[in-house]
Amino acid sequence: MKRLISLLIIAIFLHACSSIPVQEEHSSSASATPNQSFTVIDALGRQVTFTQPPSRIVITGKGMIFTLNAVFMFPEAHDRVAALGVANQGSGNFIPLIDPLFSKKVILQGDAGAEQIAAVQPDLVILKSYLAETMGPTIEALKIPIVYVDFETPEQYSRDLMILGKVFQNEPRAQELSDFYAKKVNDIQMQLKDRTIPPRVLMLFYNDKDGVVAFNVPPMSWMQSKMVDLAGGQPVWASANPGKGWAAVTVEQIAVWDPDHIFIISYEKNSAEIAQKLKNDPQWRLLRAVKENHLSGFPADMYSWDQADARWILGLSWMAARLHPDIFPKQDIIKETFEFYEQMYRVDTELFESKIRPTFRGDLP
Amino acid sequence: MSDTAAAVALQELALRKLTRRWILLILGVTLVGIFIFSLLWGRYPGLGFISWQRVNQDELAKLLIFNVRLPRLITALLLGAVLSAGGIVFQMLFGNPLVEPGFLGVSQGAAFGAALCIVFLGGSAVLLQGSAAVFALAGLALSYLLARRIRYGGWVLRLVLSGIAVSALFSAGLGILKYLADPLRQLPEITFWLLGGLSSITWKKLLAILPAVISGLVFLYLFRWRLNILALSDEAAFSMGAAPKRDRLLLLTAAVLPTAAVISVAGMVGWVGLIIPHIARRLFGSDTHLTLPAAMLLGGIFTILCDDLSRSLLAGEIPLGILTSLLGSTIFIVLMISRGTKVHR
Repeated sequence: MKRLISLLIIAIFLHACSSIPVQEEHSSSASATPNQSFTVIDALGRQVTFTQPPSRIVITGKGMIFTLNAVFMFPEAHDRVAALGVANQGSGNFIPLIDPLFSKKVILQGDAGAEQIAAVQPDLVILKSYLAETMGPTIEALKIPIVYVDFETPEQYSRDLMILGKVFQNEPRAQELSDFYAKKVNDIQMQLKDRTIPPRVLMLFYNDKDGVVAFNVPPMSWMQSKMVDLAGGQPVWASANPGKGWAAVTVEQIAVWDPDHIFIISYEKNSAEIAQKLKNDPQWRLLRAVKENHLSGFPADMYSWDQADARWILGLSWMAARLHPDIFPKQDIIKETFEFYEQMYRVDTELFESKIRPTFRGDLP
Repeated sequence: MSDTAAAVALQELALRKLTRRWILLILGVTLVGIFIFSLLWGRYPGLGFISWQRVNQDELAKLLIFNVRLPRLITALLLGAVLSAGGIVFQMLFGNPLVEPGFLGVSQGAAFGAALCIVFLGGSAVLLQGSAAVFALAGLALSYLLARRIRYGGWVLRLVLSGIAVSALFSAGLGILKYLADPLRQLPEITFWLLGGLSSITWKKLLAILPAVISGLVFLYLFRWRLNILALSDEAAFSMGAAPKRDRLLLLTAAVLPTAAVISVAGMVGWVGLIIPHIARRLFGSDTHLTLPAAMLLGGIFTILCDDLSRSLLAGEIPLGILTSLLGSTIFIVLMISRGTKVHR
């Protein structure tokens, strides 16, 4: 009986301990010089105060590639990014091509934790917002400021560029970048405004890991679905994926949809070659999109253009021209791509032709 | 046996007991030493130790030690102690040296709960922890209820059978969830959770599991002597004053509750609950009076050392479950083929 009472007392004591609130702080050190301090409101609505512009920034965690490609649109990133994850989706790493200081940066593994991040002695960590509950608390425990970004939809893209502009204290550049995206989208929308019947579109992520071929459709909240809308198409898979990630669909279901256009996405292989293989498949030949030669491999360079990466705007432009060749008859996607790299990353013709153009995949000229 | 021979035998027994108590004490001191070593060892500022001087001068080093490493190490210690103590309880009660605390649908239930949360509830850390714990306990409850409905065999056999069936059900469910999971985001997250790890441990998470873990461990420690009786047949246990069914259920619950709690924050960490009880029995015999606390200490040492490797070997974290499986299976092989193991042909 005595033992049971002792146990009960210990359990009650421990339960009381567990309800002690843990203090969370989101600001950097207190030695502020008023004229330099500034506050950033991040994607989660948190206020992060800096006493001086961060100079040792770490970009890590899942989905880091998209953040990284946005961060490096700011010229300050070359000096201030101290450590970054491996930005390679299988076709090369873009950052070393544009960053002359890349060799001095620390490369973190995708699953680096607080300990590995602390070793870089950062004064800011930029993370995707969905890592706020997993990675966030251990980094905050070190009182290292975190700025969360989303970069998942066109709207979030503009907002998050402005957040980065505030972080780098270069808001004019953020505005310039945001305007670039807004103008491109607006131009496409203006030209499509008189269209009444949108073509029915299916975007399929082709995955053949472990030798089993699977076709997946994205959720409606993702960039791919938004891009179809913006490009003047109608996503046929709207009701098929109410979830939060890619969902597998069967060839039978694809035949039921029988869309006007099918775009094949692949992150590791050449989507044009996959599309060609499907065109030769007797089952696929019966589909309307194949008969009308509207089955295409979605374009990519080092990164596929369908993702919430900086290049989504190129994917949108290409798709709009594919869906409406009568409206965009003279599209020169190579020229557009060069202009994008020139304005976003200050890439010159030589670098573009020698390092970027050779990585083109999908149905590009 | 003559009086002299009996006296010598008693003397030897007393000496053996004393030796074992000394070994237990050495294990305790070793654990404290390894804990302090691990607190100062890591990848900050470079691979190696942080000097005490640096801890006093460098604010980041101080925060790293007290806010990141300390809760993580305590969790590693508790994780090892819980899984090892649970392993002893399960192996004694089931009379089977190959069962571990994840048995009876607990591990598979937790895995199913975590995957369900990742696929359908967005994978929020709090929900994931809760879902894993709830389904781990649901696994135990289902196994228990199913065992009561089986109409043949003894209580232990019925529990084993129902545990296998419930685990298989949750495994099938996990398979379906993996099939439904987004191959680029959710599937890697499920896989990572299944491999286990302590990289996201904070004081908050540790304090959340502490009541269940400490209560379970203290209960098992205080009632460890009952395991010796309950390892006997029902009739023998009853004749020695135990209520076999009730006592077994109590001890199993006390082993499973903290297991579900630690799995919910650390994911699946295999082999600890299997290999550590074997080592403890090698050193202390089958009397749980000393074997159980020894298993707790050894489990703590083993898990802390594995976690040290996990966070310091590479620039990224190596999932803890990979290291415990690698080292655990290696030790298991060594134990099986070592000279001390008797072979009966």
